[in-house]
Amino acid sequence: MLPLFKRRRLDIQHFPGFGGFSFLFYLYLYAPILVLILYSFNANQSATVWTSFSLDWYRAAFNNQALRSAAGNSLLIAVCASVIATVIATLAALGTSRGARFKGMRLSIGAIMLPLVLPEIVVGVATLGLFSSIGLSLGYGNLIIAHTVFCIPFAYLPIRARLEDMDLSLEQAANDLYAGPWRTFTKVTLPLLMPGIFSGLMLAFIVSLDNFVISMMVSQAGTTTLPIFIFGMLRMGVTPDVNAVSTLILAVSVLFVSLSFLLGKSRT
Amino acid sequence: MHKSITAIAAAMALGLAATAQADQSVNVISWSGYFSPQIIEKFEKQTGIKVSVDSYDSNETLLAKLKQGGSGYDVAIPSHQFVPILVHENLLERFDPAKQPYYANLSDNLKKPSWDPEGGYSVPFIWGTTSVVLDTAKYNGPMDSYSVLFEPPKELQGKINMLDSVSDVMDTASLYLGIPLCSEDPKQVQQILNLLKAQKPFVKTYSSKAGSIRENLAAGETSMSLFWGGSSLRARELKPSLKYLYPKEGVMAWVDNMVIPKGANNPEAARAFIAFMSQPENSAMTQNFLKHQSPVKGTEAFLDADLKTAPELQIPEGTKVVFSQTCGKDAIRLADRLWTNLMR
Amino acid sequence: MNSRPIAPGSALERRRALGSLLGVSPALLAIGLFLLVPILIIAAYSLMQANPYGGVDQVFSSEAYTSLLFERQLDDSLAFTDSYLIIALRSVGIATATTLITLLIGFPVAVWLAMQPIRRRGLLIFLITIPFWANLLIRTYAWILLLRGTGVINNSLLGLGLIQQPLPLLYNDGAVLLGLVYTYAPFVVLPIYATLEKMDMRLLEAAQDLYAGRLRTLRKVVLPIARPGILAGAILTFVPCLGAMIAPELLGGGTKLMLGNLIFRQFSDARNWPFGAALALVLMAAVMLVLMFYAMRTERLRVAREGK
Repeated sequence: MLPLFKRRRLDIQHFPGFGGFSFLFYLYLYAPILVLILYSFNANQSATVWTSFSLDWYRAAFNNQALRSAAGNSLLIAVCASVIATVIATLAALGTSRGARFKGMRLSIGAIMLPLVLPEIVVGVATLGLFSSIGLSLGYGNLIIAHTVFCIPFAYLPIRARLEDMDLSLEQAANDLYAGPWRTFTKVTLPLLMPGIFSGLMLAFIVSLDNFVISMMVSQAGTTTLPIFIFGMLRMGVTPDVNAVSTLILAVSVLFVSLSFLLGKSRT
Repeated sequence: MHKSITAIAAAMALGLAATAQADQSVNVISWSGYFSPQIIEKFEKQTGIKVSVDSYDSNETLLAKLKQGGSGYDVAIPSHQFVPILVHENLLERFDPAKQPYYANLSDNLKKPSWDPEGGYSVPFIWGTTSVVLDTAKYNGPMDSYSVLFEPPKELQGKINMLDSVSDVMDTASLYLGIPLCSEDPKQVQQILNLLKAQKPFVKTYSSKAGSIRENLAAGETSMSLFWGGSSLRARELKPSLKYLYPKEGVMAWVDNMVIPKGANNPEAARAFIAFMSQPENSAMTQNFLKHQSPVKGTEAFLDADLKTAPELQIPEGTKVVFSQTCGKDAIRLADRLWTNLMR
Repeated sequence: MNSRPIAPGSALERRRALGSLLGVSPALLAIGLFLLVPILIIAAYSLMQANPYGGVDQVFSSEAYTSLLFERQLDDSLAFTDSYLIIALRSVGIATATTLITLLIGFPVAVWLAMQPIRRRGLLIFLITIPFWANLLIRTYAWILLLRGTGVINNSLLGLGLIQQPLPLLYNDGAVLLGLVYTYAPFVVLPIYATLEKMDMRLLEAAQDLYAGRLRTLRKVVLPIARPGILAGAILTFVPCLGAMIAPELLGGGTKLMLGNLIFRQFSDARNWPFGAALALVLMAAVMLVLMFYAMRTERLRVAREGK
């Protein structure tokens, strides 16, 4: 209890206003989201005029098979791609910042950053070219591969930043206590890395969930994702049932948070 | 023994055939929201063929995807300017719809059109016009010419949306200036550029996103836009003072067509799908849903009342209707140079 | 790293090098196979002729690169054009401004997060990412609803009598920045938080005991610890921002081209794949150069620090 108390005291003493500022920041993040949720319950066709409360758009979204499967596809692909990318990125971050240097390390870091620096449309066109020339036609697989690749730097950078200033003495202490390398890794290194991994996973997940241009190019029959579906609506105008689906996805995320929060609590 | 094996094999083959029948499916790729859930359901019930609909955001994406070879689509819905390109690039299955009974029932101006002169590759799905919609509550002066758009009166200055598409903007500007479409004459293109540059200070947004154009018109954020007929109709439902114009220079027209990509998994089902969509009753369902124009004759009986009288869909007698064209390489280069220059 | 020197060339050293290599190899394999090969394809495209019907014709041409700076005239002669330079500079300007603002906003939030009780942190982090589970386009539309003349903000201000005329909040550079900062905020906050998370509070206490002012503590203690995170966040914001398309169009009105739209156009309306490929490669090279320069500088700084 005491350290907690101390922290709060420090917070107030050292950086007054940071709390209020952060509150405003959260307000900024949630302002459009609140609007979005509000209008998903609007009875009107238009997003401009509020008429009355209604669940019509949820009904419409539920009846729209294309929309439903697009949302499902998006979640599936984002989960797979972000998890794979985070595993790869964690290994890469460990490889590029611990232990001895190897030749070409800087080049490797450069390579990991590559997906960031190429415009999406170019990656999309080129990846489509590659997939079709080697005849890769795995449906979801194609999308998961493409998403994993561009998610890697988003997962890598936070993990690597976390590793950069991590105290190595703990690991060495563990090693000195004759804990095997695997035990050291799972019991010491990994828990220390966790905030970085969590940040990386979250960033990779939202990047994948939101990707449109590359998905558009790489997708095959039956693998339309939500962003593809939404951008496809631009010709007709986005209908409020998309707001309803977005709200449902937000609800899923909140459910997910509460669940992990509860699980975490029961463990301690 | 031998007999029983044959019997089992035969039974299995039959079973397989039966499941294949039950599993028949057609993969359609189009703009999102081009098919109402009801019409898909009706088709599935009637034919037993399952439909899966994928989306794309532009004709160019479709072209790129088809060019890279079979993504497994059975039906696609490109705009008419893209049909000759797809045919030229050998990306379409020839299925000669002109020989089908439903083809005779198409509007006369859409039968064997310039983009598919033999009626070998495409069947019109939906069509419409592109013109100016403006808010008569803001401006009620002369509006019989595109000059209202390109040289806007004070009331509309700074309240204009232009479509964010070189071809739409250039085509309309060409109509206004009396220049042939897809001009390859740099002097004429310069003339268009001058017109657009003079107009730009009065343009608030360049956007082709139908939803935000509509909402902005309804909210009064903009008061005039280059827009599609059916989309203007939807905007008018939100704001009754909006009026869709038929200027004396004529209006541009577009047609979205059903085609079968080469290498389709199930061309048979694709043909059934296209025939189904071309029935007057079903085409009317589509029209009611999209609020554009149906290419099929005899849909009136099934149309919603407001569509029958909508001025956005009833082209006045004597209006010049010009279908946009497939531009050549030089025209595309010039157009791109114009756009970069305008937007730099 | 300096607590246990390892003799170069020793068995341990070699084993560690091997381990490092093994760690990086999945990433290199994935990126090499599914990105490096595509880049080579793109490089090949950039040296071919554009096919007016999309794609390329397999005929060598350096036209794509010359047209970066020169425009072909009527008589086929070349004349200098600064169109693309202007577009590039504008994009760099917007991306720089976005990155700076996002860092300014994100840093205090990350510091605040790192000072929260451990049990609450995970939840707060998650709360930052939740809005981004909704699609970019949908979020941007929501911003339009907030910002426009008859939007939520203007209506509230008018209702409160604070303003007489609606403020022009939409369709200007400010709106573009607002949208971009919004989009990239988590990409700054999370990496900085990740570096600060284990910040030793005793350090702050010590600084306080030494009567260092708050700003001084922030600058001398917190900032150095956060530096890797700040760098990571800056990269994750600046680079994708160069290719941003939605905010400039929907919140800025789309009256000016940005690099993202320009390159996208080459693969769509303009049907000039070689030029789009050339633009992308030049952009990639420029960004990589800057990143490498930065990496080398920080490396030199670290060597200088650790060498003492």
